[in-house]
Amino acid sequence: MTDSQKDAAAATARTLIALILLASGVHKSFAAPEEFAAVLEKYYLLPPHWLLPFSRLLPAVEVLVGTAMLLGWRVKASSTAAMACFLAFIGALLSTKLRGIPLEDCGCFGKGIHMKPEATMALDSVLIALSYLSRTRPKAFAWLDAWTQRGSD
Amino acid sequence: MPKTRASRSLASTLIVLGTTAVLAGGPRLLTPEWVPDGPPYRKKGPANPAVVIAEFSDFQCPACSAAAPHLKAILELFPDKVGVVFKHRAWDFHPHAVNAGVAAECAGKAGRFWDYHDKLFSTQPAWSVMESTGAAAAYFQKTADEMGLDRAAFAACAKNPATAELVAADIKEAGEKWVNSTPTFIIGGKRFVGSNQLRTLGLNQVENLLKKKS
Repeated sequence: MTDSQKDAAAATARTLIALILLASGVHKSFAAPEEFAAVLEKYYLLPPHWLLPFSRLLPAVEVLVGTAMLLGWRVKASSTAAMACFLAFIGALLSTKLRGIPLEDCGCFGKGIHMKPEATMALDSVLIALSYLSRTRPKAFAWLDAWTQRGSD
Repeated sequence: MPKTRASRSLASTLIVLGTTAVLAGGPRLLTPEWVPDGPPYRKKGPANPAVVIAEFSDFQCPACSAAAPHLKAILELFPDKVGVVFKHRAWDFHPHAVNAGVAAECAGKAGRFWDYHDKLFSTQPAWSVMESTGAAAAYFQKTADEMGLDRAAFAACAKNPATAELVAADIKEAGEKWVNSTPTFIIGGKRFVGSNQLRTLGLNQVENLLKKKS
């Protein structure tokens, strides 16, 4: 594989992750945070008074990381943040499995797209691999980073 | 255009944060809060309640059935101040939900909406597992008969497409306002989803609104 092919693969991976994070975050942002809080409630991971603030925060984080990856801004850091997000999602879903909590819908993409927890964990694993690929080639078509760093001070 | 690396770095940060603010905050501005209303027979409580709870519910949804006692408890706490209006949010993956809503509408036209509402929720485990819509329709008719409703009028109402349109209109309204979970309660423009939010945050909202109005 040539360097340009590797760059293209990393940029494609980054774009895919960005679009998934943006779709998930924007979809959740359209609905009331109380709806996502009601989904989070079923995970039994957060104290009740944290549910609503967290349900407002998470979609914004997804949109932030998605935007950063799409525009090629601080690619290494944003790819690491995406990996951390997907790892946290897998951890949360796995913990419900281990505790025997049945989840019909993980609520990962808001209420519009229903995915079984098992399917989401598989998808998140693929996305972690793609985030790693994106992280290994942070300069691949990263136009905001390239614009920031071009030329002299 | 920013000329130094530092200014371009700042501009990049602002572009990303600005885009995030628009994408994460904008959608909520497109779905403003509103005050849902319904026909008089779907309202319960005092004639001019200080606070109205709009309940978006699906008769075949177990969480809606579980929330019913909590809603009842709030109404009993403030019998002269708090009212409720029922709104249909039947899901297409619940095969008998629309027909149950239609049956409740027909009971409502005979002045017994809330009795029928309570009956549907209390017997939900029995009728929600019925395999055919015919069997469920027969069950809804039998329930009306047991409540002493006029059999012919109930049957005619249940078959009238205009009744189904009332249910469909509520579902459409809920969809347009992004009510994507049941039960959703709207109290003074704020949403509360599920029993837990209703009995904690929802009850606080009712108390705060009553304090403001007293």
